[in-house]
Amino acid sequence: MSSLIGVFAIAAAAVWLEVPRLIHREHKRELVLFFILLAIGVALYSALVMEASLPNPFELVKIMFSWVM
Amino acid sequence: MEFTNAKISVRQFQILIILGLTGDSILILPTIIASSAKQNAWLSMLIAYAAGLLIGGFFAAIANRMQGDSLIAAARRGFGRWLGSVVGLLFLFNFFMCGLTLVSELSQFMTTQLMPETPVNAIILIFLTVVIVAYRYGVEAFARMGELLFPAFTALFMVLAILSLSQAKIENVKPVAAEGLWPIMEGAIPVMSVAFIEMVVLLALVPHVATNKSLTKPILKSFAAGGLFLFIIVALCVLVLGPNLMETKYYPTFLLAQKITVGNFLERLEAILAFLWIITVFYKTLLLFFALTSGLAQWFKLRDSDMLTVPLGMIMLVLTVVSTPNITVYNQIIKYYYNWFDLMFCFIVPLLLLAGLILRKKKGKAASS
Repeated sequence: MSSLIGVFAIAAAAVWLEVPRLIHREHKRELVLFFILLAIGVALYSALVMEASLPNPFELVKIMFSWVM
Repeated sequence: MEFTNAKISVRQFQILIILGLTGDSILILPTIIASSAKQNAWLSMLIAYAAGLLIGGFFAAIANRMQGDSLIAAARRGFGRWLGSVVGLLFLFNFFMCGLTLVSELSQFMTTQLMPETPVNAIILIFLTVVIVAYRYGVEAFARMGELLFPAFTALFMVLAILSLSQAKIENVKPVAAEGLWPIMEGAIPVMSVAFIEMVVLLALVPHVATNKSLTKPILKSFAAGGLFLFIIVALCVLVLGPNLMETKYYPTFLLAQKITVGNFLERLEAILAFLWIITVFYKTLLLFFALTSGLAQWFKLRDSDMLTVPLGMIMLVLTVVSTPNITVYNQIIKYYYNWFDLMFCFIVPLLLLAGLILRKKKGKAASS
């Protein structure tokens, strides 16, 4: 549970740090990508903390090149 | 784009290549080579060294044709907007996966050798925080830091090498090539991929290098210097530890440093090696993170890239933890599949880029004449 609070705190800090600057400079595209990536990061971390099974990215490498072996 | 204005000197560029090339290889390569080449690991390293210089020449050929463009812009110039964007995306995917392997290796090393009771998430979090901070300071700052650290790195490396020499046994390299050339070649392949081919990331630094001259010489010189560091380490591992210890221990270089004792007062020098390795892994990870973050910003035509660092760091943290369930599974994938991944994404994709840039230039010349 503390890990989950930690990740939300990091996400909140990132929003507090980045968003006012991006809004001030009218960087809309940057803002959208920032929120998309942050949402992915928070979702993945939450899934990890809740011990949900996440796919191993190196399994992708294995699948891509298993025909060679 | 505000993040492409930063400039680094040719010397700083070379130092970043040397640190990146030494990267994770200094610690993990001896085991991987010895598993195929045994006592001939030094010969595998020598072959890979020669091939590495050719690979350096290949990357230099691309760098010289980028004409100050970023990697993504060069891909779009070479292949047009749509196909160029796909090629750019392949580069970004490669940088992301390479970054994951490095952070995985660092977390494994720290939890198995140095800090066994510290949670792996904490180690990765702290490491990635430092990488993010370094990225946000900019390429000029971390290149200057590299310039400062490089003499310390070289001096400590020389101390380790010289002190290890006293325990070298020439019998450890015998018999030479007793099982033919194939195991030696098999040992050379992972060195080529992990150490030399993965340095495709240097192309992300090219637009920041403050020079109008050809980059062939600086790149070749840094590949030669980085390769020499690796050759010395592999040769010392064979001479001091012998093929059996090299093959069975996960971190033979660490063991090599542990073996150094000078007159019962100079001991536990493995801390120096850990320091060296953390510097080089940090720089390689930083280069990959730099290439990934700035490349992603260029891919989406953003005017800033700093805001991507924290979300990307979070994603990397989670996927590193997921990708390293245990050291055996990880090593199996790295040993049997990852060389092919490197060959595809760090060699064939750049080869396509080179072909695209050459063809585009010829087309441009034909059109103007």
